[in-house]
Amino acid sequence: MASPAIEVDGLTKRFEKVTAVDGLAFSVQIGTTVALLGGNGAGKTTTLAMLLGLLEPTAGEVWVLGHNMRRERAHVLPRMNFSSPYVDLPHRLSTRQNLKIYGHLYGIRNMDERIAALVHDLDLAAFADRPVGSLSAGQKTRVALAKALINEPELLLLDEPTASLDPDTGDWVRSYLETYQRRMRATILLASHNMGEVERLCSHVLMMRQGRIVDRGSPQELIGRYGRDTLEQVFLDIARQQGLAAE
Amino acid sequence: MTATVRQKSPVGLSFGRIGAIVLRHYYLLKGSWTRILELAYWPAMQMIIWGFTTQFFISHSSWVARATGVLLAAVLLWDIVFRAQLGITVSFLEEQWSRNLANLFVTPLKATEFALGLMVMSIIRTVIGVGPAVLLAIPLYHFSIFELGLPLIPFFTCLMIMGWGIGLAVCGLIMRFGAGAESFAWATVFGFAPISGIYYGNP
Repeated sequence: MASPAIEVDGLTKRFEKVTAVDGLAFSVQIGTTVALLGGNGAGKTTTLAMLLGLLEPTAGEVWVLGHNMRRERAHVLPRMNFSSPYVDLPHRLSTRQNLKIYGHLYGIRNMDERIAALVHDLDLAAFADRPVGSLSAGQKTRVALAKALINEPELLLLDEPTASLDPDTGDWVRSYLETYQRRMRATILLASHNMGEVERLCSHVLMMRQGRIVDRGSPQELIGRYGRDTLEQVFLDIARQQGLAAE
Repeated sequence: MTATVRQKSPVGLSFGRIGAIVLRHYYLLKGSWTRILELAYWPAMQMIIWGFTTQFFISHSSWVARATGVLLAAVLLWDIVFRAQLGITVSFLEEQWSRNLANLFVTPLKATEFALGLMVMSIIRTVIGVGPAVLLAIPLYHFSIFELGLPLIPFFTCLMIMGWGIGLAVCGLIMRFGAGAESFAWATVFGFAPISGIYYGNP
């Protein structure tokens, strides 16, 4: 069996007296879409930051695409990418300029062709030469997604990919991600507060609270286990420490 | 489109990635005439003020007359250190202000490549900033820094390296202490002024 796309063991992050992530252990199989769910402050973004190598864990290890992130980060970064509404692209630069810069950073050789394909696929043509700072939230999300796909990553980490988007744009982004995941057999790990999105996209869910994984399983397994009708109700049970997760 | 995207080796320094950092700031400068004007404005003003000061002393003291150009040279050379340092820290702050640092550091970009990119930008910013002041001093005060001759080259190099050293240290402080430490970007270099003997000789 192939090694998982992500493997995490005993992952811990402390900020002085606060333990943001506390001994996480999980794996994400290649070609799957997995969600990290949890309320605000559950440790999702900190976990993503450690998976990307932006934060050094206080304890524990992370392996991404078979490489240890503490020692071999440089080998993995060209094969993965990331998008978050909390991280921006330079506002004064246009979409095309930003994509060109990131194309150089990822060492893309057929740059013009690749940018043209992204502009076409993500429907960016109408505003590709406008400064990113002047775009709407939906347009910025598509530009950020284009940046995240510039190197055709095998592993995509997404922090709230459809936050602040209207339902139509959110649905469009989800469809695009589904298509990309199928076409590339990519692995996607996403942190989200949108339960509908998670039910639609994800085959597996990791439920976090106070820096720990308190439950895991497919959306249907979790719904059945908690005796609920929707994943949102399961989320509320866990966030309010009711039912199985409190035991 | 698939399989046409090829990545270069992540091992070793990449001129492409260094160039990407330079390109990012080139686009920024190209699209903002106010930034270019601001770069050149302060060195030119400094030079003009110290030029008038020198002329005043020349007309009132025969001793200072022998030192024509000393103050102007001091101002221009000090500005090289200052602009070299700002070239690093302001370019770094531009990334922080645009909340782009995380995006940069999840790419294969290495810290060394990022620093080298900032150094190239620092040279460009210093030339844009100090260049007009250097050229203006010639018609305004009949003073040319180029009269220093070949020693100007190592002198310029040392001043740039000093500015980069301070700039990188300031970037470290900003990363460690956050936005509250931004004022270090402008203040730190002046801590070196009293011991640098810019306007007076150190014993």
